[in-house]
Amino acid sequence: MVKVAIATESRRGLDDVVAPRFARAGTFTIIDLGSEGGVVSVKVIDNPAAESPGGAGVRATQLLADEGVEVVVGPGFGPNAAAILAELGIKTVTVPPGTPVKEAVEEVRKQLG
Amino acid sequence: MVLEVAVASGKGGVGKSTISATLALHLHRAGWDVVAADADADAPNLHIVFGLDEWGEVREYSEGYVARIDYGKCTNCGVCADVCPFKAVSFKGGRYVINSLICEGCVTCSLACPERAISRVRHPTGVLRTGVTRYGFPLVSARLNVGRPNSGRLVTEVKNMAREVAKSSSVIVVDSAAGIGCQVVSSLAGANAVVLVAEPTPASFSDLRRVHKLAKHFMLPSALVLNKVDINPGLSRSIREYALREGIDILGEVPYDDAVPKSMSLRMPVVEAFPNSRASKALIRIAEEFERRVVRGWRDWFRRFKPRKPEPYRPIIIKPPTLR
Repeated sequence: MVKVAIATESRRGLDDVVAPRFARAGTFTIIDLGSEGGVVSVKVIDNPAAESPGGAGVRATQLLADEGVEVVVGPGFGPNAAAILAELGIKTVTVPPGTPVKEAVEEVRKQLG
Repeated sequence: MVLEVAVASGKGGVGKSTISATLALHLHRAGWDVVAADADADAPNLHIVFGLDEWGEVREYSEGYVARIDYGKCTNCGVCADVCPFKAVSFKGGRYVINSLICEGCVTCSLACPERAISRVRHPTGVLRTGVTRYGFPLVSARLNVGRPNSGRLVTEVKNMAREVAKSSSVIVVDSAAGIGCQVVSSLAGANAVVLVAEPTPASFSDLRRVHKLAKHFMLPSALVLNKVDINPGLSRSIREYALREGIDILGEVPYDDAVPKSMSLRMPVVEAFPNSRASKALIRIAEEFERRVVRGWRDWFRRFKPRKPEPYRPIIIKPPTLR
């Protein structure tokens, strides 16, 4: 099982789209992918880092690390977020903002092989 | 699509606002839906360049908290002044006063106050505002109150407001702040392209490389405007070579021209105030090139100038202090 977090805009789960920003995304849609690549579970968590004046990248990354996420999907990652994600061994997948979550999941499957 | 372009330079005073104003004005006149966004809330001045005084909409912006003493309950015991980790409380004119510029809103005083006389309130940080320039396109700008920190969140709010105003096919020109800190990171995050502005001085060249690293980090294609190009031809050559080596598209060069500061004192873009000056002619050519290569030719331009690989990250390693 692989835990994937996607930077999203709202709470529409699999029908949502990728947010224009990673650390200041409104929500994270957390998806468990089974060994066959199928979606096992979906949950949406709020991203309090979106409201933080500075250090959003650090806070958002901490939040996802606490959730035990192994792969994050976003439209790009800021300098601090990228450094911490790499340090923690969390894989990053970059997709254009506005990409439907289902397509983003497809991209994760492809990159995980 | 909405094309969001961040104008950045690292160093201040090299011509970001002049270039931003020229690009916005030219694209508007060429028939594009343009929104100008001033992402420098510390020293907002794009509205000054456009001579804009009347704001259509003004929103209060607050970030963080400050402590407030209810003097009806306060007994002047002074516990708040003793516990404040930031020394923001002082005894003045017979009562304890919180200096809201120093207060971090940590509520230590509130927890310690035996009379429960201290609460925390949202602190007004500044305002977000939109207006229409006399040239006919909207401008979004923010203004911070003195002593309040600029933030990536505020820049994000400015850009969100610009997107609210923008139509589905608009060009948003984001005039970013100087530096490469949080608010510049936010200016670049979510943008589609970066216009780098440099002048041939060692400080500008150094800061150009720093802000370009940030652009590469976000995998954003960059264009370069070399301003005041004739004040140091040798260094201008070095900057051009750097741009070629790094795969930055050189949009053009602007000569040093007194017309630029003179137009600022008239509160007009130089291309409006002195359209026949050397600087204006160069700026208009640059805006035309920008429209042709970047806006019209977006797909090809993006493919050609997108960084080949992202800037490698610097690992953050926190080591405990060495004990002797």
